[in-house]
Amino acid sequence: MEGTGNQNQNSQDCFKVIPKEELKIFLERLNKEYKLILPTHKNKDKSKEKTKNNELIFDYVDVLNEEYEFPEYQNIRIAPKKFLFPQSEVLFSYEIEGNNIKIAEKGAEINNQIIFGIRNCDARSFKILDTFFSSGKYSDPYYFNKRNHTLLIGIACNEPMTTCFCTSVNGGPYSVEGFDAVLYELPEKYLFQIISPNGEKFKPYVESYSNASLEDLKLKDQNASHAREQIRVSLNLDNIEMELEGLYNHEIWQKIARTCLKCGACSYICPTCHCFDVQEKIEKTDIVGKSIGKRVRIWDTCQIPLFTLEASGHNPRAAGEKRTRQRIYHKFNYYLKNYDILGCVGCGRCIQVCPVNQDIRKTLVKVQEIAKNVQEGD
Amino acid sequence: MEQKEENKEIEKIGKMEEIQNSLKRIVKQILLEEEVEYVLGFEPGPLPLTAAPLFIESEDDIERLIWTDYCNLNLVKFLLEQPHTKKVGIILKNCEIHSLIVLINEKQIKREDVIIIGVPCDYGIIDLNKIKKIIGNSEIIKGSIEGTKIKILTHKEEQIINFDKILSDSCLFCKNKIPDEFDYQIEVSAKKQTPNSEELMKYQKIDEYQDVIEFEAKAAQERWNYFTSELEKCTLCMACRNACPLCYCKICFIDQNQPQWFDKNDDLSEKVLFHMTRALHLAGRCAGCDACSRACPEGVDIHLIYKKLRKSVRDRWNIEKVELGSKSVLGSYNNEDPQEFIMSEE
Repeated sequence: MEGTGNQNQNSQDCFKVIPKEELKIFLERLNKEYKLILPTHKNKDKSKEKTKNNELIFDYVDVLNEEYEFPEYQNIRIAPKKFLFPQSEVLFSYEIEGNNIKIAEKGAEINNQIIFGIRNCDARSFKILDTFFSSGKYSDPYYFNKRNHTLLIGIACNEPMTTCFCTSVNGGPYSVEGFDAVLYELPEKYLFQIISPNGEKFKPYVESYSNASLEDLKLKDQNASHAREQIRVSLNLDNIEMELEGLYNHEIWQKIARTCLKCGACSYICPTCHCFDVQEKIEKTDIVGKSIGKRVRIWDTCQIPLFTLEASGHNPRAAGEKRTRQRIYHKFNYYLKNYDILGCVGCGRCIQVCPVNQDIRKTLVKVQEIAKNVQEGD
Repeated sequence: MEQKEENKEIEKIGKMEEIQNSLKRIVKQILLEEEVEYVLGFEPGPLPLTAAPLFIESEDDIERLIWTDYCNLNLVKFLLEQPHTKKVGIILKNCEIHSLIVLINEKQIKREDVIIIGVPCDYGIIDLNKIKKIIGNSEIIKGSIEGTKIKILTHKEEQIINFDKILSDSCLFCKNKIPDEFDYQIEVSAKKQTPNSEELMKYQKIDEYQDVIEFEAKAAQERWNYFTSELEKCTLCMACRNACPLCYCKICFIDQNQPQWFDKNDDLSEKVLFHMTRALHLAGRCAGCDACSRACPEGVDIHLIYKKLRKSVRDRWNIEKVELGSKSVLGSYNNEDPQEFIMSEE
């Protein structure tokens, strides 16, 4: 997907130079019109802010009133998915008294906001979430209420991590897919480029900056190829849908599943996992029959048995191997079947959090090896 | 002095290698001589300083077997998950052996169905979560252990961290590093005994529960603040519960939905409810292997909760560890049990 767009997209005037020391002013100007979600230190305590063990997270920052310095990072450990699809989200709250029912829908008012500094993998994860939440007959209002007011300003990846494999799933450290606008980091400066029609909204904010020099663009391209070289694992997943097709009952799932703890660490950290459960949270109920509560949507995960437990007591995915298989099939087979896109963005977060150190890349390699053998055996 | 240090380092590296080689030999012997389905061990994980569980089924698999300071899981967990038709071999450290003993006492596993290969601990197990907290937002590109130090390379810098900062909490204080129950035991030649490290020896000289004692002395509000700030990070992914061999309920209270005990929201109250209830279920059973803390993807420090339980068991019943065949501490009654809550002791 790299290099998509019209022909003019590579001409110098498409890239505006924002000197690094002016980034804060740029953010302040954006902050007057938009709420900003930025990479920031988790611990806001000033004295601790500079210490390096202060974890970076995405969070709302009011740069007009707070001190802020754009930090350096490879990627932020927790994806920004939670801003559009939080771990628990109140759908509505209610008060019941006798026959009198009051329902309050939640959160119609959403401010325009920008998620700033996200990497390509996370921008592409929103495309996957967009597809899922708008599939079928209904479009999900809770997600799109926020999504439709959210713009994504990315930053190209100069230092991918060892667990990154975005180039194997149609992304790339310098891919611009999914961004509304993107920054390229060079020494002393950023190049700013508008990507999507929505990104045109940023035009007035960057007009005053000078155009990039040819030297700048050359450096950017060098960074791009350097970044791509950093990604050591390259899988060819062109036929993964078909390769998985014949392996549904293969013993490989049992082999992989037996070292898996069946926890939800990989799903909860995944920027594309979107399964949810809906729960009732009763806050107060008294003898007169008055009750106050809310209905909440929470993250769920296909890795736990409860996910598919039916009211009868039957569980179609009681065995761990069926859940392990589901995770791979959903991302690499069902997604392609249903929406013609892969369900994985190659961010590698699941590899980093897995308590038993499973590596989804190795699983895919194994799947492909077996598929090849099965085919040849035919 | 420097020369001496270097020698010690070589001896240290040699020690792990020695254990690994002995393990390979014993595993091979077990595979050949005993009727086993497989032997459970570790193989290298995909990232630096990581190990993954390995099911050794044939001689070919033995080559992948490793033994390191970062074999972070309690493999006993994997004994429960699988239906077994034959005996199973398993490589364990002493605390993990005691967790297996609890399972044997609770009649979940038969002693004769398991072949325990006991490995004496060196310093203990490295807690990757602790390393991550020290190095912050950079990823570990390379890690190597040299004596009682670890050298970590990130894409920005190289950092040397002392073992006392990164060892699993339970290992730091542990004084029972030699297997108590086993079928095969790994012997380490005297020449290759652990070099002393002042920072680590300090912990060997104090009460095993010193950290709990210090924590207990804090004001209630301070203790509560600590637990809430830790538990707020919890995502309820259940990695801790699922890494624990003693959490084997067919349906955990947290998953039960008829009736439902737990509303599954990620509120702090629910997180506290989960962790405290799980802790109570482990009272008198927890062997203190700390696999739960190391499994946590968010690095939540829950070890004090469980350590406090172990301390209570020691203080009240003078039981340091669960022995094979002993009665359940909280599931049995003895006339001498302290019962100050029923009648005054005066």
